[in-house]
Amino acid sequence: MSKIIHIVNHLPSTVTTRKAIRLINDSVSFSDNENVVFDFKGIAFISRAFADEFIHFVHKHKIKARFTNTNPNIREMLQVVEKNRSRRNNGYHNIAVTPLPEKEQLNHLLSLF
Amino acid sequence: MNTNWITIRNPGGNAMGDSLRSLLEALEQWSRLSPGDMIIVDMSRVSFINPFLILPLCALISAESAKGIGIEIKMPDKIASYLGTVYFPHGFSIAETHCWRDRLSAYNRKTYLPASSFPVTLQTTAIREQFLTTFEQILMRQLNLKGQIITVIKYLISEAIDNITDHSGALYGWIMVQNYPQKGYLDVCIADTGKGISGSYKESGKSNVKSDALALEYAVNGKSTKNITETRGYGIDTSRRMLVNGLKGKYFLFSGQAFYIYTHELEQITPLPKYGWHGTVVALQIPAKAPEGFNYTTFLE
Repeated sequence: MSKIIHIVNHLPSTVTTRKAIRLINDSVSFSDNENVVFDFKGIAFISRAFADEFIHFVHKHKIKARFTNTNPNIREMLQVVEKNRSRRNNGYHNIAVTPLPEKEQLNHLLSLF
Repeated sequence: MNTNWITIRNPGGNAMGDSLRSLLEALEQWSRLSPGDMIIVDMSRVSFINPFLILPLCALISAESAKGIGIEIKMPDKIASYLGTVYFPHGFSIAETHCWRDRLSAYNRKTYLPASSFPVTLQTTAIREQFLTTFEQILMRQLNLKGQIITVIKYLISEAIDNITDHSGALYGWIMVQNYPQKGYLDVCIADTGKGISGSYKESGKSNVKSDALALEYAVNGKSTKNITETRGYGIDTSRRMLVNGLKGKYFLFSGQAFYIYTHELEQITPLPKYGWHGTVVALQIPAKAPEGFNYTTFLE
């Protein structure tokens, strides 16, 4: 028997920040290896940051998680975060650092923007 | 006590750079003030203004007022009404606004949302998330867009806001949006008056980040201040690429004494000589329509 967590009972329909995980953590307790269904019905959007924090939360608590009623955007976000947990693009590109000591130079740059 | 004037230059146009030039000139004047000075912010010459100038001024004036500094605003006649409706100069605050949801709902049929502050601390998570959800719902009603651009706008806003709650150390963050339906884009500004990007790196022990310019380069390259480097630090890098490479929009990031500009034609970090922004400002010009073939998922990491 799985525990069912209706996310919408803990979070609003748009979930923006990592810290929002606190609203689930403070109101639900989980045991190791527990089967949990996270039901996303009523949730329209989760940020990448929250998705990352959420996946960390699931792994940290060793939850056997299943996600239901995820819209395509939420599904995509969770999949991307899960996929990149152990993979990182370490590419680095140098950006031109250009001091503009004269006010006219600064104004010229901003006129291009 | 001395009384000092800060004169806000009229941006003179609606390009991003016009408003940012006015902001930088204001900050330069601000940097010359002595502690304890009374300040008069003279906006009488301003005839056009957008979030890239309004929002940082609101955040700055509120931060200075909170320190007990007396600030008087000389309002411009031409746009006084607009400035009133966007809650300039102290911003829309859910803590200080009775029935804040109803007040915000009054913006459903407008093309902008007020300069708004939101609480950042861990204890205020529930009310912050409720406010941001309400703010975005009204924005989406205003924009009346369809398709993946909705997700992209939410993505860009959420990543900038999460950086404030995660890194700034500020008590409040700030957001304002102005939509230009005829021009086909919207201007979004998100700001804080916290420790800034270099301050965040220094606090996390990355002492090799010796300048604001280098801190910006690190941040743009996704170098996280956190130890869980595999999954952190994507926000700025992904956002700027999604916005500029994908949508052909414009991205501006300002923290400390340096700013970063990224457009289809230009990418540059510019250190400033003696002044800057105490905290971080993100300015986004987001096209309301995605180019043919754009797929936001290709930018997700």
